[in-house]
Amino acid sequence: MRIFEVGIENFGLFNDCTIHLSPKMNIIQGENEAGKSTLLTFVRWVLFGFARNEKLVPFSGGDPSGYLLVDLDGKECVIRRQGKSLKGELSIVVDGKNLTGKEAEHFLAKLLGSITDNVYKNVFAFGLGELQQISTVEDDQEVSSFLYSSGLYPGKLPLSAITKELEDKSKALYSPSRHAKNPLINQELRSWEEIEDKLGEFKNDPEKYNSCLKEIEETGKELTHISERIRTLQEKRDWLGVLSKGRPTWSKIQEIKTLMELIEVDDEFPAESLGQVEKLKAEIEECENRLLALNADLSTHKEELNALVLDEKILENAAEIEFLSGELSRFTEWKSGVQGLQDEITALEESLEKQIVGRLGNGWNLDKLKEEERTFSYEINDTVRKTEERFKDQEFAIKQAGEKIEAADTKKRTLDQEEETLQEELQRLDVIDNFPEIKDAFETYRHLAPSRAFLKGQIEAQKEPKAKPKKLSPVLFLIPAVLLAVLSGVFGLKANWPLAVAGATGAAFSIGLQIVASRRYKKALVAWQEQESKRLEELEKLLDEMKKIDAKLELAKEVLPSSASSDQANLIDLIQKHIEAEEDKWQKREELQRKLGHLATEKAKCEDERKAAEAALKEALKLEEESRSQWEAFLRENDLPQMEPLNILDWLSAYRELKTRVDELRQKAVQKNAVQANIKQFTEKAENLALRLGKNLENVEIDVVSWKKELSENNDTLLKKERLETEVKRIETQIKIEAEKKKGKSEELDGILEKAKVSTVEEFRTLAKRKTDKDELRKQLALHQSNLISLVSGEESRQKLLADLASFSEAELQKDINDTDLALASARTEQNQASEKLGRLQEQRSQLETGRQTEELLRQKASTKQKLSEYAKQWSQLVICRYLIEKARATYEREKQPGVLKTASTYFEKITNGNYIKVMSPLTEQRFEVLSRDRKVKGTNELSRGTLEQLALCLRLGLILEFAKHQTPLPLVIDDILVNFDPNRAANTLRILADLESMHQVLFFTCQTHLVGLCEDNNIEFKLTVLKNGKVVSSA
Amino acid sequence: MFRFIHAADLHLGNSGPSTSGFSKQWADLIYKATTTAFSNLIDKAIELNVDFVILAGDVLDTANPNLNSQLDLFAGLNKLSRAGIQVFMAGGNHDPLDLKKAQTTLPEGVHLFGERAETIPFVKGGVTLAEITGISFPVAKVSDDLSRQLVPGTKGFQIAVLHSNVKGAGKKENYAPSKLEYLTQSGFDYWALGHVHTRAVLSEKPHVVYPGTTQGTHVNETGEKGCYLVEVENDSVSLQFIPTSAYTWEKLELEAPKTLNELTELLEGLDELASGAKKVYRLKLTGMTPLYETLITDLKDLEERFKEGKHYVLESVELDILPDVDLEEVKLEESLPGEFLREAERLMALGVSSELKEQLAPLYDRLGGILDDLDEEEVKSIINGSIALGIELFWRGESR
Repeated sequence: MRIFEVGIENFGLFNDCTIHLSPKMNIIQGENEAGKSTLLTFVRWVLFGFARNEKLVPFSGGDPSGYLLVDLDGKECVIRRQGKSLKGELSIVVDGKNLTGKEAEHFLAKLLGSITDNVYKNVFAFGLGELQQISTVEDDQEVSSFLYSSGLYPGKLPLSAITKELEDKSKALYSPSRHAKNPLINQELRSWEEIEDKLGEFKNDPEKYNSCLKEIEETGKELTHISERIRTLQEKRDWLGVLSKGRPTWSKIQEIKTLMELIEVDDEFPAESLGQVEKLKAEIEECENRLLALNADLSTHKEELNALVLDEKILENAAEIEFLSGELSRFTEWKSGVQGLQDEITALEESLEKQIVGRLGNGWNLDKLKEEERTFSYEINDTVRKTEERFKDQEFAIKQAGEKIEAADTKKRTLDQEEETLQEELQRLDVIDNFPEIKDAFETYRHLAPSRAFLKGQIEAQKEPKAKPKKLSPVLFLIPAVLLAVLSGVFGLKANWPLAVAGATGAAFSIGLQIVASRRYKKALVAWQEQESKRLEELEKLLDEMKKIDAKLELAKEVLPSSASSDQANLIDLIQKHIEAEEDKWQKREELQRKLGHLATEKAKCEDERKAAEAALKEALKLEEESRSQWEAFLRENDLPQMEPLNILDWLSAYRELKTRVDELRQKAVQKNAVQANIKQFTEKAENLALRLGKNLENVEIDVVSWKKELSENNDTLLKKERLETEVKRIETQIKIEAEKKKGKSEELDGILEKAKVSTVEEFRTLAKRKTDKDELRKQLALHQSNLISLVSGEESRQKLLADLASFSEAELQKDINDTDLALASARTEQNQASEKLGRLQEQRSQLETGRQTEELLRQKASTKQKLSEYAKQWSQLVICRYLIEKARATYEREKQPGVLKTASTYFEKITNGNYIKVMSPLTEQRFEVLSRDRKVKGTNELSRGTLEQLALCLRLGLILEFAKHQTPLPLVIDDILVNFDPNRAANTLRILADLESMHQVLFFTCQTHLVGLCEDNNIEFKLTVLKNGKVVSSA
Repeated sequence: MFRFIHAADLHLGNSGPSTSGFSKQWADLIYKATTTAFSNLIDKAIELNVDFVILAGDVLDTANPNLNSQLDLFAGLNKLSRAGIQVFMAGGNHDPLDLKKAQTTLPEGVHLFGERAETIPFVKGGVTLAEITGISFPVAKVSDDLSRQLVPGTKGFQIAVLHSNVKGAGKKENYAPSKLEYLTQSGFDYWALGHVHTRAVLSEKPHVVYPGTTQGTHVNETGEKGCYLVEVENDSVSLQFIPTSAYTWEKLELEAPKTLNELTELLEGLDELASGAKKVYRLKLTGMTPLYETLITDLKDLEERFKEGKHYVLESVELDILPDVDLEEVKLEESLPGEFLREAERLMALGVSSELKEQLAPLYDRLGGILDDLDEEEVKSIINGSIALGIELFWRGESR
């Protein structure tokens, strides 16, 4: 690919710039910031788009855009890119076809082949910076993989990585070290050993099984044997158990037999009667004790009886005493009741006496009221109340008429006073008598004077063609002056000096004004002259009108005081004010006169009202007198005191109330008498009783109570006596019974003792106890014997039991038992052990038979073997692969060399004038070595700066040529790399670059002008383009 | 007329291939296969009402004791004994006489030949119809030609029972080697041999017969396995193969598929391929394929996915494939891969070479007792694998 034309439409500082390039060597020269780097970026952008972090936007705004016109093997092709996004929009014109979008991208990708933006930047377009760091070539994965591997094989993995991968993988599978744990094969080998070890444990299984079967049989036999032994021992132990159980009973029996022989008593002794004997003995003693107690009791009772005394009289009158005693409380009540009633009566009488006189009037007292039998019905109250109301109405009518008369009189007096005041006020008002006439004249004048003056002016103006205002003005102003003078004179007459002076001044001022007015009229007259002819006609009319006004003025003048004529306008105002004041007075006078008329009417009305009231009063008085006489007749008729109706109502209510109280008094007296009768009766009864008792009655209440007490005491005594007598009788009977009882018992006891052939109860007791003890022992003996026999069954066994018991001692028996128990326990232990053993053996047998564990192990073994075989194969492949590669590499490294290094070596030799003859790189390492002319191998760190840069350039050139083998050659863009080259090496370099032109177009950017000369000196053909500020300055 | 069953190499107790990853059903079937085969044999003997059964060695699998297989053996022998069928057994290299037995006494009618040759008559209806002469391995390793010790009897049909490797009969280890010429001239009518697992009739009249194993337990023991039913009438001897295996091995060696679809279809078709029989497959893919990387990476997944079907299990998948690169052309290049291929070719040509063994010694020295020594086929497979690996690495990242 060669670029003919770079069309930068909008990119960085470039704007519409077209650069034509030579298809071969180009030197693009420009100062710093002329746009060289931008141009480089532009070429890359069109080919690859932006890298992620290096967007370059146009300075003038808008989208970046531009194209490259290139030659593709003789075909013209336009590659064009536009847009801000990373890739922008690509369009390509080739073969008359316009490719866009994916189609265009695809075409370009195919054209660029494996060269990515990154590769292009590092290999095809580079500057001094990249050269100075040889590591940019080494570090970049894409580039270095290409660099180291190109020509070795198609892939991109460095050889070192390949061998490492193989080694890593084989190590992950197996390590020959016995201690390695992680590699898979080592793991499986360990499993294998473990499985083998475990399987080894099962090696002897068949023998185990065989001996197991044998042991099972033997153990079975042993168990049978042990069981037999246990059975025999158990039988013996059971018999010993019986003996041991019977032993205490047997001992007891022997003991009892010995005891029984020791007790001396007749077997026939009636020991069973002991209870009877004891009982009788006790009963006899009891009888004796009771008799003693009864006799003592009897004598006590008798003594008590003799001490009792009774009052016969009291007892005989018991009923009467009881009665009086029962009524006594009522008697006491009566006594206090009588006193209370008497107190109430007395208090009531006193209160009534006072009230009767107070409320019923003199002549009345309690006795009179008691005798009075009249009652007053409540109808009377109604009559009285009606009369009362009538009296009230009549009194009101009289009072009302009187009040009306008085009111009429008062009103009349007020009206009179008012009239007097108004008259006085009227007189005080100083009114001009002919004021209406004066006023009328003034009004007329005031209205007509200006009209007339105006008219007169007009007339004069019409009459004369030229202005003669001086003649007009005196006439015009004279009239008011005269009028004002007249008014001044009038006021002067009335001694109103201020107004008079004002009037005079006004007149003088009118004259002054006239002078001023005449000047003004001079101008007016000019106009008048022009219209003169027309106005003349109207003159006549005006004169007529003038005459009419004058007639009226005459009239006014006549009325107004002649001396008051003046011409001053101000005076008119003053006069007008004066007239207005006069007019107020005039109106007030009329108001007063109207009020006086009204007062006269009121007075007449007042007189009428008084007369009507007097007539009403007379009528009312007459009615009252009639009612009064009727009332008095009524009182007499009903025998009532002469009183006003209201008082009669009070009196009646008092009468009725008091009469009720008198009745109450009477009832209380009756009550009191009844109680006193009761008291008397009770007292008489008491006196009679006292007589019968032979006692004096001193105080009824005290005595009755005392008698009652005595009676109670006598009654108690009487009761006690009767009780004691009964008790004495009862005791006497008991004594008799007890004596009988004692006798019977004693006889019975004696009979029993005789029968037992003993003399005393004590003796009987001793013998009876012996007999009972012996009987008890006999019973026990029988019980033990039956117990002992019940331990066994069968006569033979019984005999043997008794015999064995008799022949073995306790200690011997116990020893025998212990021995047997021990033997049994040991036999059982043996049995258990044998059983367990059997179980274990059977378990072992069944385990051996199922063979689970071996099965599992065998399966594991198979699985492990398979894995081992698989891994071993993988490992072998890896190891052999690596072995083969190593062998191949050694041969290759020895016999061949990668193309890049070969080319680089050639160029490096050329540039250094043969100082260095070879560039090398160990195949599995990422570093370079150079071989000097004298066959010394040097590392990159041993080279000078310039030489190192030259080495880097040569490596790039090697790469470029290697790429060119596989795809379209791309233009080289080289940015000022010769700075550190000496002139000789720089010239060598430029020559090499120029030689590349057969394959690659070269764009060499520089800011140094001397390079142009250097090229020319070395006969290197090139095209020079000079850039400045984004523009092509010159191109040759 | 009489008839008998001739079987050998039962290898009771051989657990077969690894069953990890299989369903329990398949795992048990494989693990118990030898026992099942023996059981089938006994059933068949009883069903056919044969006169006797000859077991010519390697009845048990290994010198390692496996009690269960012994118990299985005794159970089977007991069954035959109860059915009135005699058994003549000779011990082979896997079950020599020094083998520890679980039971010392053999069931009635079961005869185990001792370490010295002996002849036992077979009498039917009072007539000695045949005489059976045999000998057992006294120890596992016998290098003597034991056939020389067997001498035919005088009455009836003469049968020899021996566990022996007849020269040229198989590539098994050379135990008790014997020569066919000798056998055919020995005077016996029927050599009932054991040891070689592939059935073979080496000679007729006199008959020299390997019945093969009753159950294949290894990928190399492919196809139907069983025993022979031998009928003897007058002088005529007829052989009939009776299958006994619980399952059979199949090796599938196929051209590596070019697409994933093709591969999936292939694997999906395995069940149909097995068609009713129980099969254990080993699949081997060979040749160049564009699927090289996919297969290498996804092999385990694929194996897992198609591990078993109704009628088959996949024992393993072996890859002998190469990336899709024209190796012949590369081989001519003056490039590193060219050099590499040329080296590989050279090594391949050497076969099981000391050069190769030297490289692999660090591992194979340790695997000695576990895996068999490498054979030509395995070496070829390893070198092919190495080539594939190398090519893949040399081409990795190349845009094709």
